[in-house]
Amino acid sequence: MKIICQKNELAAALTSLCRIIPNRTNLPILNGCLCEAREQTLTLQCTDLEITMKIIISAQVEEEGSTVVLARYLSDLVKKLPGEEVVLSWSEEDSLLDINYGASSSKLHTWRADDFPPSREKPTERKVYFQGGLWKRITRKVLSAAAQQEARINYAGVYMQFLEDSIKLAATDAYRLAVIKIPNNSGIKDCDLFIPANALIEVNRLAADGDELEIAWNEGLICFSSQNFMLSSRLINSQFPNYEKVIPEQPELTIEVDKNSLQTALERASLFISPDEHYAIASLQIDNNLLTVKAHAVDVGSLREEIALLSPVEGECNVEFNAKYLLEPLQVLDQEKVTLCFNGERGPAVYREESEDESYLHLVSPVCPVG
Amino acid sequence: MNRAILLADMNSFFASVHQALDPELQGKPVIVAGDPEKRHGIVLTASYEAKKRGIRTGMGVWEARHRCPEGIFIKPQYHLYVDFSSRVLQIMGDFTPLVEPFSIDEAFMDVTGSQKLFGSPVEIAKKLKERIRREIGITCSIGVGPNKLLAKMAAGLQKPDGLTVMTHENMPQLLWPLPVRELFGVGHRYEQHLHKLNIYTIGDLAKYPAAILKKKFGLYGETLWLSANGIDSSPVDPDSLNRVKSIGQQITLPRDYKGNEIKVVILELADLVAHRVRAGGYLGKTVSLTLKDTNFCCLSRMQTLKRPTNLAADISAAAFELLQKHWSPRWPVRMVGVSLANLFPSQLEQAELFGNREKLRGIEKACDQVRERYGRTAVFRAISLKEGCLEHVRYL
Repeated sequence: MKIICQKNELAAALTSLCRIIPNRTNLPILNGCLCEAREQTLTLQCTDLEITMKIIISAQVEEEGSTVVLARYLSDLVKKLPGEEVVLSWSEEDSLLDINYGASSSKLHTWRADDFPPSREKPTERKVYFQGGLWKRITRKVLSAAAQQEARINYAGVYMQFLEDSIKLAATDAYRLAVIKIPNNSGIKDCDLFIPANALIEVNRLAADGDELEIAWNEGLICFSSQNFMLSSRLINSQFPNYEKVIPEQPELTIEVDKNSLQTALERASLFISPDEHYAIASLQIDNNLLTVKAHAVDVGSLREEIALLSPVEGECNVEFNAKYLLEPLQVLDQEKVTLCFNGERGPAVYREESEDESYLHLVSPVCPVG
Repeated sequence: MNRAILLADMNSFFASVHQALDPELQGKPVIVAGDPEKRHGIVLTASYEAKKRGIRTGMGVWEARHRCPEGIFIKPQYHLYVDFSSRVLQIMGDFTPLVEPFSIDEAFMDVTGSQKLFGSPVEIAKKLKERIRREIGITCSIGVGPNKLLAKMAAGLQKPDGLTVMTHENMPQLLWPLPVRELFGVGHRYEQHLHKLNIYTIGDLAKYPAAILKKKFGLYGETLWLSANGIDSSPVDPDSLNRVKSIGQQITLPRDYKGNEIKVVILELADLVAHRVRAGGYLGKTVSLTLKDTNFCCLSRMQTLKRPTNLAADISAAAFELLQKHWSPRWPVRMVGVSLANLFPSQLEQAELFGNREKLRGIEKACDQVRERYGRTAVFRAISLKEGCLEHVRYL
């Protein structure tokens, strides 16, 4: 194998690939990156056996071939190389990957390409196409509610439903829930997928806004592919909670406020964390066409802010939340005017955003008295 | 500035209280012991006269009677001890506001700032002893040291009615020849571990390389080494007893329990623990389970929950997991303890969207209210009706 490729392109690809390398593994080859040179492209591949990521970069291939090299070392080394171009060569005899840059060179030990875990066959059963930008925007909106810990597997993903005339994406970590509904033009109906959140996060990093993204899946595997990458992941094999029933049908009180005002107020409120608590509690009070945000931390101090409502409302409300949970959805809302619905002292608050053919809601459950 | 710390330890406290109240008992072997009718009747305190006859704390009542037939056996009356203890603390408070009750009969005092008012630490100790003797009628041993550890070790050196000053200078003569077990913080198990390292006296421990101890026993190894060298920087904290660190409940079973019977006991204990946690307005994060068999082979394991709780359902679920993981089903159990630690006061909790947490909370709260009004056994789990399961809920 002998190729010449652009240093920056190679470094960027390796940085992405290194993110899915497992931190600890008893299978050493999982620390490796499979490099395959064919027909003027270099394909780099890493896997943790759950997710497999392939990135394709253009290269001047002088001799085809493939090998496996320690991904983190290659990545760190390439980043530090001088010049624009890198020459990689590998031969069967000494099993070393030669990295040439000007008059200098480094060598890295390799594994045989045959020893790398074979990638699973790309599913062909069902597929849909999304524009990269659209897919990133809608998944980002629901991912904000997904659980970060893998330990809670029922919550660590995005649930995608293909319905009669709409596609719904939902995610929850049991404390909040985000749902987005978009029109279904795919022709696929009565189908649901539970996609791991970490796979989606990686796809969102790799996908370019203008490219078309192909999503194909079968019973247990989902595969995202675009011009220059492919990422496949196992689907989550457990039940997503029945989320429809926790969405209140008729809110008790709906307010409209300026996004920026609410966001900055909540950012300040989230600083007031009592030493015994792990999060800041923001208390929201609506009275007299004013939204009052209050926070206080034992031995620290307190905050009180007033925000004018954009339209008059009837009624009052007083409810407390983890400030972070109220703040995070604001970062993914597109419109400057925020619609927030309240459902009593123990009911959740719901952000709603409707546009022509999209509807989004983000539900946040409050903190309640334990006594 | 060098600190001056005192530890006052009331001599044979429970017995002394009875002797102070009833002059008839003075100079006689008084033994305060649990109910002789019950199987767990043991000696809690023996007066010095009784101690001379070989009575030791923790001895079975039957054995004490055998050794000292003329002994005067008294059932414990805790309200008296609490009353005496608070009077002693009040006297201590006249010398310094920095008084930390350490147990019912021991308290630390930081008299660093009181020396201009009351004289040197030794003079303060003498005045304190005199006042406790005159106003309360009991004697105490006082240790004086530059920190809590040396004060505590000093107090143990001369009993009864002692006054010992320990300094970093006389520590090698006073402290180091003692067996390592005598060091504060060294229990039975650590004693054995230390013996394996050829450490038999506190001096051996003090001269042992700290790095090896740290490697072998972690941070605690380092703490022990510092203790053996008389180094301790912990402050005298007047509030330490008011802060609840854990709430637990344990029970010695009337016979050996196995399998599911243990689970029922855990459920019942979890109910009691959760009730007390809620009554105190706490949430806790760490559940621990303690089990003992008839040979007093003891197992204690803990688990940290994903979210803080005050619900019996969460506590028992975690305890079941610990039981499953660490205790063989064939192994009989004689004592079960369940506790919730890592407590912090909290009135609010993040609500969940799914699951039945709200319902569970409602049920447990309703049970709390029924119990408060109609007594502890007014409502209990149906499974507790099974034979052998409920006995202890009735007598707790």
